[in-house]
Amino acid sequence: MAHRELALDLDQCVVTRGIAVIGPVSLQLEVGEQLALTGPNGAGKSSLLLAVAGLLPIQSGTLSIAGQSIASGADGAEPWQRGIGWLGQERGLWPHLSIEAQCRLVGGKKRELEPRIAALAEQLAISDRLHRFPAQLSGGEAQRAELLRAVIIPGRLLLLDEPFSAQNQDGRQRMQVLLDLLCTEGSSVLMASHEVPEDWASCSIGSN
Amino acid sequence: MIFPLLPVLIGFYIPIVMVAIEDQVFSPESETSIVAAADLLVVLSTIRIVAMAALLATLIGLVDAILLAGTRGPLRGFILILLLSSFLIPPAALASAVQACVGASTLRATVRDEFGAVLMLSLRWAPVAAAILLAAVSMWPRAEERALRSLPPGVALVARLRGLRPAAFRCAGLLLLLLLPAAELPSYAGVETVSQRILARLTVGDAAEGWRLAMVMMTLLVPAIYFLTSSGDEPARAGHLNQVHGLPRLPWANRFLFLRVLPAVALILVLFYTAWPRASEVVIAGKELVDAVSSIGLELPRALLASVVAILCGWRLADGGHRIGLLLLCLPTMLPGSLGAIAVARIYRPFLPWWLDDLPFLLTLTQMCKLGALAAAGGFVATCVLPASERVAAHLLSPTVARWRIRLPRALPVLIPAVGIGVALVLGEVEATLLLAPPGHPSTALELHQMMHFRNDEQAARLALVLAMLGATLALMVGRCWKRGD
Amino acid sequence: MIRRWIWGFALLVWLVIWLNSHFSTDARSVTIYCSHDRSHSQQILDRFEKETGIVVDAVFDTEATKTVGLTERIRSEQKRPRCDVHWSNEPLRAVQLAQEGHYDTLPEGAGPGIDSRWRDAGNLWCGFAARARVVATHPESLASAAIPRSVKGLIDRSLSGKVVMADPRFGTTGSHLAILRVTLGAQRYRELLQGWKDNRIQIASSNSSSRDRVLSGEAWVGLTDTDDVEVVRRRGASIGEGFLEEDGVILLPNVVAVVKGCPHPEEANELARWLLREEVEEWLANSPSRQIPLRTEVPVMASGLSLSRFEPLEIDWSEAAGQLHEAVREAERILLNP
Repeated sequence: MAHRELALDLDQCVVTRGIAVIGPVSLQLEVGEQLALTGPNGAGKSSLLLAVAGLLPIQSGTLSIAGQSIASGADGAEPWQRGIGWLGQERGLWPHLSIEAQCRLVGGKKRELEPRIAALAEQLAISDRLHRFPAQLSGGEAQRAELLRAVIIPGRLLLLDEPFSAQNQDGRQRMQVLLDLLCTEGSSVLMASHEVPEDWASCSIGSN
Repeated sequence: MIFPLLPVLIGFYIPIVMVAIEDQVFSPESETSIVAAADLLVVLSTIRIVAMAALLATLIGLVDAILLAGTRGPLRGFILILLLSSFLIPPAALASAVQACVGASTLRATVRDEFGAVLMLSLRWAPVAAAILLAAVSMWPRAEERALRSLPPGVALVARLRGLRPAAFRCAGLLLLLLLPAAELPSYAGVETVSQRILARLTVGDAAEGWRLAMVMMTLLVPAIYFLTSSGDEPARAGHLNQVHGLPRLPWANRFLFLRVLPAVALILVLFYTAWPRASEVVIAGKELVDAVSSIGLELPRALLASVVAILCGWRLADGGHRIGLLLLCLPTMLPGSLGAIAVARIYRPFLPWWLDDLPFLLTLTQMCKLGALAAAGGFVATCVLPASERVAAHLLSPTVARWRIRLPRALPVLIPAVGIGVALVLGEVEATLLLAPPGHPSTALELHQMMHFRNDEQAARLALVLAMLGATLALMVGRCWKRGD
Repeated sequence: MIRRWIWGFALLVWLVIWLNSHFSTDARSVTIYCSHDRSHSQQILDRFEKETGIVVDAVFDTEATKTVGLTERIRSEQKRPRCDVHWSNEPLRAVQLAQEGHYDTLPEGAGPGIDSRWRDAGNLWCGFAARARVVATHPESLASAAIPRSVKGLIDRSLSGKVVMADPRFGTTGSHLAILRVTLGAQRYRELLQGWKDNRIQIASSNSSSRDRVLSGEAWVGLTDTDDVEVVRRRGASIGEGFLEEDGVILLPNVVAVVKGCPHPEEANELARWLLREEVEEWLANSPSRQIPLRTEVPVMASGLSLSRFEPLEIDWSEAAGQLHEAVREAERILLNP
């Protein structure tokens, strides 16, 4: 069997958030793979995503993203250097910028970005919302817009925390189709969710 | 961390240390005890008065902010402008106008002493507290705001009060630092503050002892400031003020707010009455008005520059979480402006090229240093109130982009009012201006104090009115900025 | 885009006007630091400018309690003076500056007719147009017979809690106390202060504030200056005025000095000489500040004050300036400390 490239490799990682201790957790995510983290409330799904993103410290264990080992503690790569797309549980759109401006800010000023923004927005059914500000969007639209911002750079590890929470059936389907598409072009998805979409691999973490 | 500290290092610490060495402030030959026990008592009584005034002002500001943000009623915008603009009128001008109207400005014994000092300081600084807290309210999260509007009015107000508590504590801390060098208002109440004592030492040529006293006060307050700059678990907030839909109409709140602005209205009317020229003075008064507007117009951009640079430095330090940096930024605010100005004049002026000496360069630098506490507090509140989810999303951008394109614009609803207050403080500043302004440099506040001293009440009132109008304009701009925060 | 251009243009215009207001022209100029009433001294300086063509850049003082004033500015600028002429309205701090070496000698013949009592032996400064220390009185509360004629009268039990003076560490009140310490001696000076303290003397923030407490009737007697009384009299206020003739009336002249190493020495000498002319004393005598000319021949209007009206106290200015520090510290210790 051919050796496949790993997008994420967690080995015996322990994460602490306040008094809660999560782990040790070990998981491997291959490039192009979609994995759902499941577990009861308070199990530490969001904390694990935050730790992978570099927003919570990892107490012990090793972490590699795209084959690059990331040191724990202060020496670890900064969140922005890890090549991550992020969609949090709470809305994290910046209210002072339009959706398009936010995508440009994340994706850079490349000319080739424009058709990509347009295509992804079309898929998410927010093409006519690109020039709007977050306050002018509905809850579902805002969540899709945030996903758009997270996936604007191709080939990234996407960390999604309850990405479908505000979606109706149509919105949810559109997002899933988009994520499938992105995985074929080299992205990988690690998602914390209570519900696992069909065809997705899943793993469960327990409560401590 | 060093870059945002440059103004305060160059404008305060380096000259202060050099002057202390030159004057042998801590030489072995100096008196055995660093300060006398009586001086220490004055330091402690100053801290007591100022702490009480800061708490009372915050309390009044908190009530103002909660009622303005949490209820709806007539003339709210106007009330806000009246409240904030009154801060720009120097107290001396008000005293003069009152004197011109009723014969004497002397406070009666009942409101003199510590109680009078606390009362005057609180009433003067309450609008600043209200502005800071309104800025914090303007970043309340949409969902929380909606949830609050679904509650019964009384419960909602209490919830708002509790939500604003962390910001109120920091606000009280800021006011404490800003009020420490106060000397003018307490002196009206016949109360001596440590600033007055330091200046008294300087005026009789006892500079070294003045410096020692100043340093003792700074040392006493270092732990307090360090505590203030610790990061608390501030709830995340985000923009609302322009939509009043869903806010309760509370008649008692309207009555309270109308009563609350009555003193400001009365004082402005007194100013108008005093400023109104007699028939024979119309031409002269018109000329004075034009002169005042043009001198403020010339000063305004400089004040804006000083304030913007200072506030940006404070925000940058707070954004980077540099507590020691924030502490260093705050300290110069606590001392009388004259001390820093004397040090700067002694150390830098001899080496300044003539063209820079003819410009108010050193004055601007010193005034920026005096805004340190405001800058630190503004930056700190602005950083604390950014919603965590937005901050997390910004972490995935490069640090420079995240700082200047995301976190700074999001901090503006707090930073812009801070800049406005900074402009007001620079325009009203007289201590450093008297010592550092190049000859011919226009200074409305200094002119006003001179008029006051020699009882040119009418002229002083006209000048004060121009300042009040400027204050109203600033308040209007700040109000607009909060609305845009949505 | 247009809006940006408008803002840019406005900024440019402001910058040009601002720079223009700070850089002086090629015209001859002189810088004066002046602590006399701006509205009167400005008129006098305007006349000088008109007469001589020398542009005067004036920096005026304020006695707000939160400032240290122009004296301290001159000290801080010692290594590179900006001021040419110092016009102080209070002599002792100017004498201190002279003792510290901040002044140059005045031009020969400056201040003709002003006798040696009012000038420095080394010609470093010269006084002109004085104010007198007086007691302001509340006419309805105090019979004219009871107006104190000496500072010792302020410890009279009938005036307990009804006497007010300004903060003794600032302005002319500090000078008054230093002069009292010289004339009474240190021991009797301290006893006097203790007597005032025991008689519950009120301390106000400034001379004008002392006067205001008298005006309001809260105090019956207030130690202040003649100009502070005159300014409210001209506004129609009812206030009495008494000279402390038993002690010898203390006159505190304005002082003119040329700053050592000043940037425009020639113009400075010209301005100093001009300010010490008789006409200037006459203008000040007839102004609302009602100054007392130090030349007896200067005409004074009917309501004004002339030197011949009282017996001024002979003051050793150097000694008084030397004792200012101690006088103020003792006053602070006895009258102010908690």
